[in-house]
Amino acid sequence: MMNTLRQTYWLLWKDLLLEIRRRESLLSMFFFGTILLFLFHFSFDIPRERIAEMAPGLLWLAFIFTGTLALTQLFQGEKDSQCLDALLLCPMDRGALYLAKVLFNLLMMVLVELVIFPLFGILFNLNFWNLLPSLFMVALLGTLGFCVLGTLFSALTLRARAKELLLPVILFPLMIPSILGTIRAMQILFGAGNLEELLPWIRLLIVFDVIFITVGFLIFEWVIEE
Amino acid sequence: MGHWEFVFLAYGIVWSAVLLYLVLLKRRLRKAEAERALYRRPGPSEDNA
Amino acid sequence: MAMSAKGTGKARTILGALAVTVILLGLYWGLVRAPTHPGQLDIQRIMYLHIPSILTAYLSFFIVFVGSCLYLWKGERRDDILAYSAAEIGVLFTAATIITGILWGKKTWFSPGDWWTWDARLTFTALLLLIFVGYLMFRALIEDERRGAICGAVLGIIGFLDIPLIHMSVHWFQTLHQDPSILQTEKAPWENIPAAWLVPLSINFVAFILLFFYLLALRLRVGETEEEVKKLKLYGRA
Repeated sequence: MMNTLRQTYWLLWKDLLLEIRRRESLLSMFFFGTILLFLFHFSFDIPRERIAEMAPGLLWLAFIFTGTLALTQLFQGEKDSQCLDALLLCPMDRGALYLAKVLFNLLMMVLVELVIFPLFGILFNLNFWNLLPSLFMVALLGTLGFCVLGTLFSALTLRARAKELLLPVILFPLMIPSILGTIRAMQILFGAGNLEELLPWIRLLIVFDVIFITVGFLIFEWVIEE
Repeated sequence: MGHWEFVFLAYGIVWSAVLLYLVLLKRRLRKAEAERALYRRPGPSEDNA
Repeated sequence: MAMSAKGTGKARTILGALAVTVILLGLYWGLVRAPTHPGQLDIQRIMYLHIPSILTAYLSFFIVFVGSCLYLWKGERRDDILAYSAAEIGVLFTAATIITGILWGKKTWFSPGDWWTWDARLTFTALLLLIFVGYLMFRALIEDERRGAICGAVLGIIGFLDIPLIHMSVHWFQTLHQDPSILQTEKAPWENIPAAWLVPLSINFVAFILLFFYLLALRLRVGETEEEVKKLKLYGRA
């Protein structure tokens, strides 16, 4: 177990180092998210008093799309440079590779969220600053769910034709519990709902994350083999 | 009255879909079997299926 | 399989004939013999298709799950063909469920003029269809066979495990907006249905199960034959 965690750490470090040197995905994700916010403004022209009730859906939609953009690139670097074979030759747990990619993806998305959430508040004049910590907690659970399944399917579609198209088509219906849970929990937070309403959704998000991180960890061996 | 057209529509759609699938499967099977026969014919071992 | 191709072919034909007989009996009973429902009138006869369809679809997706697990565990092509076949048939029956459900709902509880409503069960079934259509698309778009089989197995397992979660979340979501749909009851389903409707329902259920196994057997045969052809192409003539 310790061994797996150490391997995960080093694999994560490798990805982070690459990202720090190239700054490819983080920047493009960030700009894509910002552009989506502008598109939302143009397509909905939301009146000021309704923004609080629409904010969760819009924000989460922006993250799902942004995250999907990142997912199609997640294993591309390894594939392009034939590093995947080298990685697989290493005597290490395949699960560690999975965990490292999930964590890397999670980190990228959380960084983007840290910027987009406040930006959303500024652009749409939404005064939600006191809610921000609790919103982030919900967002973290939702993002983890997205990364857990997304990483798995990113690896699965790696060798498929039209994979950029295929990935969201397969991923989105399976993501429904997590997406619904996140949006609903955020809506309850925005509407100042009580804990009793919130708790089932939080529990659903946690169950989703736990089930699929376990399945992903166990099944990744087959997903990435070759 | 007035409901029967929907009943027949439903039964019609479902059973024709099933029938269509059945026909497609049969065709696929015939094609595969023909192809298999093509590859097998020259060999002497015909009945090892 | 130990049985010869000819033997299984014969068994399949018998199964098919049996299925056709029970289907005809079900059609007769459902459309002619069963009395008209006092509340819903004749539109209720769609239920004799609708309920067996969805149960058969669930059975298919369960078989996809079992086949997928077996394939990852043992790596035998046969289990993958089983999963793939069941997924195809499951999509067929899920689509049948949705279509019959919409036609029935239009005459009973949809708002006039509507062809769709975001009822929890309707939405859930549509999502089920989307997931397994995605599965079929996925299989079609991966060229490497072994790779496709593995990916299909993973998707089959994840999809099946996700079903209860999706069901739960969609129901929670919908009950916040509207009342649960009209068929909610406390008793077990068969305690609510008088024999006059239970008999045709059961006959049709048996008919669908027989049809399912016939289609599955045929689809398996197709898969196995195509597999043989591929092998022959690869290794030359037998």
